[in-house]
Amino acid sequence: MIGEPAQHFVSDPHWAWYIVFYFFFAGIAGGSYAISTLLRWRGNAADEPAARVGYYLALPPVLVAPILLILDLGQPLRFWHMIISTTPDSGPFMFKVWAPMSVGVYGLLAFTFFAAVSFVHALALDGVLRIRLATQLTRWLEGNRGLMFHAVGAVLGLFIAGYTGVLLSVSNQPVWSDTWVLGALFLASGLTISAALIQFFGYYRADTQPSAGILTVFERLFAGLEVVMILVFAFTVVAAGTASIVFGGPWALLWFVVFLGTAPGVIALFTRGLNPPAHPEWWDLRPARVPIESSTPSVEDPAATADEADRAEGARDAPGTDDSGESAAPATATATSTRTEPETRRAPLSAWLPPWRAALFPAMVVIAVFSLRVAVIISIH
Amino acid sequence: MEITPGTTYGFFTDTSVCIGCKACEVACKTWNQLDSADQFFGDGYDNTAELNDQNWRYVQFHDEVPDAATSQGNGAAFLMMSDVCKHCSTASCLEVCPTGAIIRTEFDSVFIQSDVCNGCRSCMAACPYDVIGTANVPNQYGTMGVAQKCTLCYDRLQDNMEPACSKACPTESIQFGPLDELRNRATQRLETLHQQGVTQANLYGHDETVYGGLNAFFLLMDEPEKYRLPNAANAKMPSRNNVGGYLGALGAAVLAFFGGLLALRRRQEKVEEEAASTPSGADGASSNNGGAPAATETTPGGEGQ
Repeated sequence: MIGEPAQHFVSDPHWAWYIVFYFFFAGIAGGSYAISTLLRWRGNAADEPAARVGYYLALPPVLVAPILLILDLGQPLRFWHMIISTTPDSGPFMFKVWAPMSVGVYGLLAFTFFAAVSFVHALALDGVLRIRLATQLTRWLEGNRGLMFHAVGAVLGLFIAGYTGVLLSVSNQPVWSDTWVLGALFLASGLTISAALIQFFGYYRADTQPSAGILTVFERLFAGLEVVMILVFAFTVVAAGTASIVFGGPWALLWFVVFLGTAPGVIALFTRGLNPPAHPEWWDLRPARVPIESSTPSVEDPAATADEADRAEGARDAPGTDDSGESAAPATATATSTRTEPETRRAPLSAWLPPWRAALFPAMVVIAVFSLRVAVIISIH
Repeated sequence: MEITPGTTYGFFTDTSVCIGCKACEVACKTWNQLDSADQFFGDGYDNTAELNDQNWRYVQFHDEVPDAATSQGNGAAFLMMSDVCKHCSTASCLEVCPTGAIIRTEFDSVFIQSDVCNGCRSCMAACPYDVIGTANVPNQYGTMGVAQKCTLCYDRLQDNMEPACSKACPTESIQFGPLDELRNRATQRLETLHQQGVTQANLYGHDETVYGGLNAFFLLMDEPEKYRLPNAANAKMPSRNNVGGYLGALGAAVLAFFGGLLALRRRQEKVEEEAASTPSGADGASSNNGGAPAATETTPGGEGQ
């Protein structure tokens, strides 16, 4: 399969940092929407809070993304020329199904709509948004119709996470056009970072604790997929003779970072497969609010006070939750225990900062996923 | 000559008679009001360096001056070629342009509409010949940042004038005319050169093997790669990666989806197992040795697409 090296006599399009960040945000937005939809569809009731975290996570990046794209244009104010045709005597809309940039513009618009609706829906479910529109929306998205809506949104989300790689490949650039796997690679990578970020932000929301285990497994799965895609990518560019451009020199360091971030997941995939984590206490998510004790709480040990809150929360969890390391009494669906809900206060700063175990792995994944995009996009310049 | 719309026009550039005078560059820049080449202390005679937003004709110089003792050179001491947009029949730039700025004119040339282009640079990513550039200075319409390249002097053609470069070329290395007429001339010229013993002469882009046929095609004095022209095997359209790219992404999505379902199922199984074995409820600490052996659990369909 390794024949003549591919010839490339092209100049590069100077797609640089705006585009790197756009790819990064598109992956997060689409990936978290897709994971949240999977949790809502096939998870159990205790996964709902984590799903909401994902839907909250999906909207901000997809709002920033078009701004980055517009700023990257040579004539930013003409961005709408990709939607409305300005060539004389041509149809009103501009659309080329064979040009990924054209398809992507519409995909991004459509997904932004779904992400916004799901964001508002999550706010309504959380009781943050109490306007009439919110309750109407909640009613409209109940049951199967809601699932269908989110499924369509998830497909669009996966599209915007993946089409970016296809866009790079539909060119004549070295490395990019020597492979067909960039779309798959960026999709897998987007899912990896989304699972890590949902778990990380779940730290700030104690009722996501039951989902910590499954999110860890998802990270493993997606990290494994990502590594497989990297290997296929490497194989295709080696066959084309352009591997040194993307893997050589300073980029080798970035690829090392990429493997560092995905290695824990891949190793866990080999040792545990898709089974729930062996050490769930590692993924213990602590709330950012601590209960007020009658005695002065010891801020040096938020663990003790947090456990109290955990147990109180645990009594309300639905049956069949993940192995969360706490000894929950069988859920009797009584929200009222013999003691009243402890008063909580905003935790001191030390409790707002997540424990290093909760922060380290997502940080590694974020850096790894970002490095992947830098290596693929910037190396051809 | 009468230049009639509806006919395919182009260039036949015969590099065997190019003297490297760069009259074509000067004429092109004069007519199109482009900036002068900013490479001043360039290497050798090639101080234009590339085609870009301000260089729409660029004379390539390839120094192959032989050792004086070995040969006279036989027309190969310098390979000189006036490079230009090839106005491909199936143009990569036109294919990927998301605004529809790149069109085919009534003279079958490839033209970028400066008022439509938004400077996304997809065409730059697509062009296999490194022809297109974006303007860092205002163009003649006062617009910055849009893609620019040879227009085949569209404005001159509409006024029945041949392009500036072919008009200025003193050796008729650059010939302009209807494409079929140019192709006939080219095959005759090639025949003549071969009979004279110039066997390295070859035609590039004169038939459909390269991008459906180049409206601006060449007679070269060496392999195409020497002139930074991809050979027929490497002359590929960007859209070739559409199907593979989307299918690959779909495959990854499917794998991720089914893997996710499997993970959820494993969790459910473990919970049911715990519920069955310890009826009083989950006792998290001791439940780790349940589940299927880890060795058989690998990502389903672990190989990528």
